[in-house]
Amino acid sequence: MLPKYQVEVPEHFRALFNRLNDRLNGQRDKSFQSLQIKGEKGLFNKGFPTTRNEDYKYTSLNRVYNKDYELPGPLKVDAPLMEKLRGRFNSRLDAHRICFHNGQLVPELTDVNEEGVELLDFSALGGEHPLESELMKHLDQTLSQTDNPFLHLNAALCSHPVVLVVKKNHQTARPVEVIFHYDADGKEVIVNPQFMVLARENSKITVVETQCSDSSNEENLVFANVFQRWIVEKNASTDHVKIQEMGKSDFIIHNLIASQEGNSHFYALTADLGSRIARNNLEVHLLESHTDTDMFGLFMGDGQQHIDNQTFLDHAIPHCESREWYKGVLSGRSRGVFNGKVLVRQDAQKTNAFQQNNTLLASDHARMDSKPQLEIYADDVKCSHGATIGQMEDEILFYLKSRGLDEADAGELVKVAFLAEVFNSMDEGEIKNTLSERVRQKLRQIQ
Amino acid sequence: MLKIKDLKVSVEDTEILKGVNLEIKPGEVHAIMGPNGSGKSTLGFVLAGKDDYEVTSGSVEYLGEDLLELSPDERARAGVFLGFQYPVEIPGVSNANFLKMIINSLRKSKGQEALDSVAMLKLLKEKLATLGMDVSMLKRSLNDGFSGGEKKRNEILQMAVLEPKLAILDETDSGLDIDALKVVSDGVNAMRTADRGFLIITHYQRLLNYIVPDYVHVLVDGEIVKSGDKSLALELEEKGYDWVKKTSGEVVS
Repeated sequence: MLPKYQVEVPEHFRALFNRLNDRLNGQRDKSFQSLQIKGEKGLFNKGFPTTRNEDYKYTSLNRVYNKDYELPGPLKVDAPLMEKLRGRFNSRLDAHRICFHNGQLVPELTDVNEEGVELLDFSALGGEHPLESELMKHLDQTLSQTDNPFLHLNAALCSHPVVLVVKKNHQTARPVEVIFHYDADGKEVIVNPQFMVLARENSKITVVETQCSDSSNEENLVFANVFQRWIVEKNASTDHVKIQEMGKSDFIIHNLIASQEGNSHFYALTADLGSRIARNNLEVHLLESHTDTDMFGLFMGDGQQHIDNQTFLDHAIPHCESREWYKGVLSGRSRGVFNGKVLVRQDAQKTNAFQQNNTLLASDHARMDSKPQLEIYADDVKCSHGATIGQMEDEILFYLKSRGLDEADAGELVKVAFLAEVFNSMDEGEIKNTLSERVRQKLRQIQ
Repeated sequence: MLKIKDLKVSVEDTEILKGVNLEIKPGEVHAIMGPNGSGKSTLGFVLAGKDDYEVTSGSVEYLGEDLLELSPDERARAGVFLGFQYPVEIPGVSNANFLKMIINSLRKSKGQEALDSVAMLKLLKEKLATLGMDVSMLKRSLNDGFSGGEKKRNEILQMAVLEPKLAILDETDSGLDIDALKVVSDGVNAMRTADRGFLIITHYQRLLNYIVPDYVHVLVDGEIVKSGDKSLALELEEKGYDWVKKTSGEVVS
């Protein structure tokens, strides 16, 4: 029996599992295979969510379920592809590089060369590596505890999980730039990348991630179902900036689960600029006291885009602090959804939690559904939450125009100003500049 | 430089301006005085091109062109400046960035190259110095959390960097203490040149002690009912607007 408000996973997904098995033909190691089986079982037991499921009320994924997807073909890196992939990296950013094409690591464009930082292709560990059982335990636990069927789908279809490890007491000298690039190659392709970050005690790392594909259309599209697991150990500090620039027919479901130990800091900035449907499931679990969590988001839609940000922050422990602020600009007939849940459990005294969502509707046909949820069961806490949905004010535009700025520049200025608090959460530097540039580029497109 | 002829303006079917005639020549400072609701601010907004103000008849010629045909930003780039009575606050945009944007947008329209950051900073510092303003003003968000006086000074700063040909100042004195009033007036006086015209809109005569006008016009109920030199302002101060209402009809040129 499926849980309430779920729908059967269409049969064509089962065919994908069989095809993947045939292809791998027993090449993967045993523990990894057990995850895959667990994923497959979990998926069919749970089914896919419908809009009657409260967490999917404003986001219908029927369009995503109903495609008869293919798995991406084996990785072939030729010169044109190399060129394309290389161009996706930020040449001005002095960073380590990790490159995925259709979910598979591209060794030619991957370069992580720093003592204290290690990149592992999980599927190639062969049961020998000391980390394997530890990582497996995390993944297994996550799958056992989650209601999110897309994690199961990912586990079942992922062939190349990759792990980034920052060793104890190591403060990384340079950020790590990760490109997840997709190419449907004239088909409808499903890709399930898996990426783990393990930040050991007292370590520090910054990861800037780009999710991107080449231009897409209805017959040539990617469904990227990403699974990331971030483990932030005691006193560790991780910064994660994600820029999503998928093609205009693509689907992306980006699932990220982070767990934080004592005195750790986790910063996430989720910027969604592209795709037809984007759904972010961001979950942070606080395991010990004195953690600090930042969840910032930018979303910008136009045309038929649909961007849904779902966040869950579990304050289960006292003396923790969190800030969450999502801001977006919606134009055309685009839709946005924000469903941010902050749970402050009875034991989580002295919690300090802030949550805010603000949206600017730049057209009469854009739509935003915002649900900031704060559930508090402890009595000695400082928490606030709120949401606003507004339009461009004529008074402000007139003021700017009266200073000589034309319609486009005035509109852009108002929108950039609107997003300021999210940018202010970032350190000055190349990553911030890049994001700001891409956001401005998008804003110029959508007016 | 500005010729307003029989200008009639309505807002949502209510006629606010009922046939205004006014000519401003280069180098002249004109003051428009009038009681609340007489249409003073409407005149400023119409000249700057605000939506929602419907010109039902009349014409406005600016430097030989039909001003009413231009969009608000075109007017600004053609040299018309409106200092707002209530400047808007825009958190998230620094004053410095805003000034850079408006300077470079003006330069672009003139076919000039954008100023680089060194040249820009130099220009801004010069302007601040002439206006007796502090550099810290640049770092703050545009009008965000500014006091009334700071907002007005910021308007004058914008005027100073844009160097308009025609400056319209709408109730620039409202909400100012005497020190701020002096800074603002000094800023305006410093910009009085033979080729620049000013239209000063004010309710009180006080401002005109500092910015001495060449002409004073009294606007009552959408019409200029009396015009004169600076002494008219003093007379108004003494006798009140009721006096002009009673004696209207004898328009002095």
